[in-house]
Amino acid sequence: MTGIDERIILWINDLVGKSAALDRIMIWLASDYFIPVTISLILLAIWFLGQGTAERENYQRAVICAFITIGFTSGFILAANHIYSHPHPFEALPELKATIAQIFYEIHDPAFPSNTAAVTFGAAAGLWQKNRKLGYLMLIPAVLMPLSKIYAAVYWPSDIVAGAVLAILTSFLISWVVMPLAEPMIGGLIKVMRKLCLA
Amino acid sequence: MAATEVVTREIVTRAEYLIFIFTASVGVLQLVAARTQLKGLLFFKKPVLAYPFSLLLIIGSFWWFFVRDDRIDTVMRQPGLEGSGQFYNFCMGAFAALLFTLAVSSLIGLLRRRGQRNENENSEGLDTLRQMSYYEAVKRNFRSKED
Repeated sequence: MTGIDERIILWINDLVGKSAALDRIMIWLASDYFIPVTISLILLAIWFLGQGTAERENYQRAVICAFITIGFTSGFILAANHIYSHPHPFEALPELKATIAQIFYEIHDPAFPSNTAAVTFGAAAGLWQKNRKLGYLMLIPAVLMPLSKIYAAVYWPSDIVAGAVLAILTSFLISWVVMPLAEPMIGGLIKVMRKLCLA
Repeated sequence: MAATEVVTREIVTRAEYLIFIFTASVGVLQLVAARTQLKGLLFFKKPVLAYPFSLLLIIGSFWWFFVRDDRIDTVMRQPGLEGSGQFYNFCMGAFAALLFTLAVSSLIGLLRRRGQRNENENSEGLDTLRQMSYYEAVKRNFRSKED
């Protein structure tokens, strides 16, 4: 896996510095704030979208599922980081030090699995479990941020894949086990919010 | 005595992040209210004003946070708020934006509807806000509970 990872990351990093516009886009996408805030604002908007009670409730359940998925995935990432860790690309390959300085900064969190991919894919997969259309829409920012982190030499491709797979598996756990178990609480929350004219 | 060089590294502060989230969230709430015809949440009743106002808030807040003073090239490429801190502050900022939107739109609704009364009282939840302000809707809900 390391050989494939290295080949992919070196091939992608060869693009850094070739196009100012591409570098600029990647700086925005890799930023700690741009995509996470965009995803959160989209989730906020989805809560209030929907025509009619049934459609809106489906959207709101999708938002709740996404939030719980992100929370659980973050917990699993923390646990996984204690079990296994390996260096980031910019640590393992010194020639990439210049790349990361151009696009991002040297992070100190463990690389495997990527928590960036876990959070963005957690949002997309959580929404997808309850509403396919919204899930596919959220997949766009979910893919772009991890991709930019590979471009910046922050993560290996396998870190991203592992984070994404963990998030997708967690979304199934949430949808099939946690949401049905928590149904009295979730149903109650939506009822109270509806009484308060907020759902 | 050798002069001590003080290196200051500017980072994104919690206050900046909260202002950004608050402003962007107010914009998103106005945009969604305009899109779904939740007139009770709107600051401007006419879509021709509501849409540009909401977009101005969203784009303006992103510009203020990321672009001014070349921030995307400086502070945005430094370690700033931790993930959990970001999440907590997002919730705080978005909640404050919701309260602000409900309060301002209710006040505007009260001023607009002086002496008028709503006849259609069958809707529930967010749909109520298609016809009346948040204050009127909650008052109606709790009044009907007492009756």
